Amino acid sequence: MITFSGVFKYYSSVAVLQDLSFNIEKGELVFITGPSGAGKTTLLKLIFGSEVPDEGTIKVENFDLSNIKHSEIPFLRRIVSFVFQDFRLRQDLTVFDNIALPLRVIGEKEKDIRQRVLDALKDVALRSKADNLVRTLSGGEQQKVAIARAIIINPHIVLADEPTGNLDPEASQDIMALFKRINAKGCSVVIATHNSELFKNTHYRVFSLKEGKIIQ
Amino acid sequence: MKRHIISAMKGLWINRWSTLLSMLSIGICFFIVTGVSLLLYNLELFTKKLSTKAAIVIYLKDGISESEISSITDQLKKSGVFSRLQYISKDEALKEMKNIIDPSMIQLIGYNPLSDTIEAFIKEESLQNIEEVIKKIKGFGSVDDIYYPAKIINGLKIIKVTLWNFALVVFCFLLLAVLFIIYATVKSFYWKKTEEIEILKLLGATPSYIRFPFLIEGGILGLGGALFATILMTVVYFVIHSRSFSEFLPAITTVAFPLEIFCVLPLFGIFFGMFSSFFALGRIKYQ
Repeated sequence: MITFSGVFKYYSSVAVLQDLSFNIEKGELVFITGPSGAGKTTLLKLIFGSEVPDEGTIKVENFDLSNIKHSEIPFLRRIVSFVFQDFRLRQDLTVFDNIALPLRVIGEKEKDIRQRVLDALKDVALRSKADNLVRTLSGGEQQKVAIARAIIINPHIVLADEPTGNLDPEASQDIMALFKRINAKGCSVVIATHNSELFKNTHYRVFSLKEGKIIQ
Repeated sequence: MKRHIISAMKGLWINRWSTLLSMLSIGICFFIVTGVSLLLYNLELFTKKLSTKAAIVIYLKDGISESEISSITDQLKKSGVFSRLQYISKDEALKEMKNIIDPSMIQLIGYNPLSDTIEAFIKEESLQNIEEVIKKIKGFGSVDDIYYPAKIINGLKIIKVTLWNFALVVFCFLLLAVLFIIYATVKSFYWKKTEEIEILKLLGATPSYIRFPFLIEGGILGLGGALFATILMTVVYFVIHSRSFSEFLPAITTVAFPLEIFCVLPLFGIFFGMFSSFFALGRIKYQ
């Protein structure tokens, strides 16, 4: 599903990622960990098509990300969703409209959108907040909205960059439980985090990055 | 489509003052362009009318026989340059003259000083070769002289060419100004929505999805400007045709005012607005 072969990424001649080669299978949940500046976010950006590798090849399903055209990126992002640490939600819109946004982008009909958004809100236990403005929600709730928005289009892969970075331990547990539920439905999940509590005592694969290399 | 229109309308409403200002500026530019176009259009009509109404008057030599007259007439007809030929004998001309001048004056001269003439009305498409045609006719043996208001027509042609050149400069300048106004307005709208657009890109929005509301905004700006110009033109039209104005300057009512302007101008405004917006947005980048 995701294949990295000899991938290098440089930022102004400094290697951020070096010779990365790995596979992530369909339906897998993988953690990427490492200290700040290890290259976790860059790795996720490469899978999301926001960055291009300087050397090597990256394949995500049928997309060759080393040679991807600008016009193909929107279609890649309809199978790969991203959950950000800072949520990237529209603060001026309601919870409902934020979650409906990806469906509107792909041209779904309004009557279908309503039901799907309500289902997604039920999944993240925020149905009662559908009409609230996002800016009135807590950090944990906003992250749940971001996750609901990410899964509403039934992506094949969900990427999450420090999804619990701004949350208290209880909210973090909720968010992790949510990711596990998403993964249980067959969706691949890649989570970049420096919080080892999230994957301690779990059976999931963990890639440890240090100075742009996988060390474990 | 409905979503894009709503989004565009919201965008314009949020920035209503800059929208209004842009529309007024575009409107003034379009008004000047339309005014100059109308001036050119009327001048073109006037030149054509004058050219075709002004006939070449061919003065024939004295004592010319009827067979010679019909031979000249045949030759003129065969040339295919004239739409109508009218022979006026010297007696008929004298009769007409008596209507204009006091007959006693003509009696004083004691003889008919006028010549037999042929009035030849030129076809519109042959106007360009008029000098050549005149030269050819002068070569006919029985032709004494030719009168053609060349100076007036040539003068008009010079004015026309000068006005066309002036109009081209005005058009280029004003259309560039309109393009720049729409470009700057739409670009500023785009910058204000940068965060929103970045989110849309993350959610898989295609470049056309991102562009569409801005194209509509540009189209509406162009349409608004064109409608403003149309309103101003309508006011000008009614002022020209008002009683007090036509009494003051009767000739002004003969100004041709093609009503097609009222359809063409808004359509042109929409098209030009969308084109300028497209230009302003440039390439949508994802990396």
